[in-house]
Amino acid sequence: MSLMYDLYQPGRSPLHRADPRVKLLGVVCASAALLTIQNLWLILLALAGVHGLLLGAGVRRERILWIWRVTLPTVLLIAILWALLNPTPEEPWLAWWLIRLSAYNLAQGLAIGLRIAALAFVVFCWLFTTEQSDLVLGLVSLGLPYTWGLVLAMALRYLPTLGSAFRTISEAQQARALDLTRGGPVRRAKAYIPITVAMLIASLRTTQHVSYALESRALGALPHRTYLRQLHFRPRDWAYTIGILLATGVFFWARLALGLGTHPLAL
Amino acid sequence: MTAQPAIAVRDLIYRYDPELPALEGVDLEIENNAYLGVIGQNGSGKTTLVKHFNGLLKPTEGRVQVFGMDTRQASVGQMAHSVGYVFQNPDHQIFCATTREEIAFGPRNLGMNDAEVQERVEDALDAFELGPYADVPPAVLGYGLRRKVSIAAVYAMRPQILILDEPTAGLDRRSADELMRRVDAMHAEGHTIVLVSHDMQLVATHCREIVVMDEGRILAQGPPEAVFQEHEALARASLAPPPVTALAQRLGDLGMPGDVLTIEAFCRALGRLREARP
Repeated sequence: MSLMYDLYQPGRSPLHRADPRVKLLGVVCASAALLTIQNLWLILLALAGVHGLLLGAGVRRERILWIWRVTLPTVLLIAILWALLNPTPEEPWLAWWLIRLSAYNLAQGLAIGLRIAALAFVVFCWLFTTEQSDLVLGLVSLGLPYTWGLVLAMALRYLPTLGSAFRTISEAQQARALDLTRGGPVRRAKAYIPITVAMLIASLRTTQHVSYALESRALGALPHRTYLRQLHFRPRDWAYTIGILLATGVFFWARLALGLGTHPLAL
Repeated sequence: MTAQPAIAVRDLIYRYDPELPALEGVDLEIENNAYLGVIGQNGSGKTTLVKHFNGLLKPTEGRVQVFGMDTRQASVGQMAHSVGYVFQNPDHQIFCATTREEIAFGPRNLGMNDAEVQERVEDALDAFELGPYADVPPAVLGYGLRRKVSIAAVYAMRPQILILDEPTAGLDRRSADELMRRVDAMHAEGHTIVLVSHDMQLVATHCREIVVMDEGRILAQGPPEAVFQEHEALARASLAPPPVTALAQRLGDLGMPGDVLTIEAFCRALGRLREARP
């Protein structure tokens, strides 16, 4: 059984009540800032902050652990490869063939790896606290055509469903004696072909059925849509927007003028 | 000495997460060559239970043994030698370019040589009347045929135990009857069949024994004639006997036996009643 079938987790936290456009602005600004940071301590601080936001919004620990489970292999791979192979300006602790290991590139590797997790957490912060309909409305009000917004929202909605389908297909093929645990990496990768192809066929079939269902319910029948639900940009949303823009401005000034976050260890 | 059961389940507890117990203390023995139906409403634990039979799920507590082997000690691939599992949705299984290759996939995984694989494929194509579609991509076939392919693909592995999850769901009457005739034939050949279904008539017509599940527990177990008279257990599981059985039970005051499962049996009982009337 899948841990979750819908990304949105209902709640009444300030994050839940904020306008989806404000949250999108927050995601864009936080992502832009994170992409410029190479400092391990700042990345850890950002991760702690976003965990605080998620827990404060009442997002269940299982969901937070799920993001870690999904991102951790990539985080570790990047951290290890970066730490071992990237040139270091410092005297290395270990130098062998292409490998140069030092505190500098170890911290840098960890920072760059954890940055992937931090970016994922920022995006999931938005998705866990925003209803699918609000998400689409937010994007549409920013100028995105409705069908594009719907496609994006549905793609996000179907991520957990596809994850669940992948597990079921994997079980179905293993029940036919497909062994995913034996042999080296190439053999194991080959063993996933039956699962991947079945997954592709099942996804295409689902896509076709969903598109038929949408058209049958008159999607695109009229040039202009009316909306039962309207978004309202309230005073608190203006306050959040100003806060986000100010914080982002201050960060980039410190980044450019003071070199904040450029060194992997020193602040 | 009693014969070893095909499947022995002892004190089985399974939790998907600590707050969500799916099975709570299930005890069950399935004899070799049994034809067992597992019924219950959605979320009652039917599929969770049968997924333990081929090791897809491992017990949180308790034990599941298949022909004496503890399922925790074997991988799903190893269990596939003796237990075949046909999933509800054929699209979760189909991936090959032709039906022939699809059917050959399982036997190849079991390590058979080309001649054996060929023999198994031809036999399965014959048994399920899939010969005309042997070289067609199975993904483009209609739902009924895809369902047949998915069952033929497991049949070709010749597992001693065959688990079918909702085998007739979405099939028209003719296709469902054809499919069940083939499953009955497999039972007659000596296979143990475990059928998970919401279709009471299907289970009543084909199974020799029924297990009723509710909230992760077995509420009733026995031959269908007996289980469909356990009204309290059926009501608790939000189930009802097949219509013909329910009608026979309503006519109990007139002497109609309550263990009638099919229309044919109903007509026979009615004939006997008419003959017995003065």
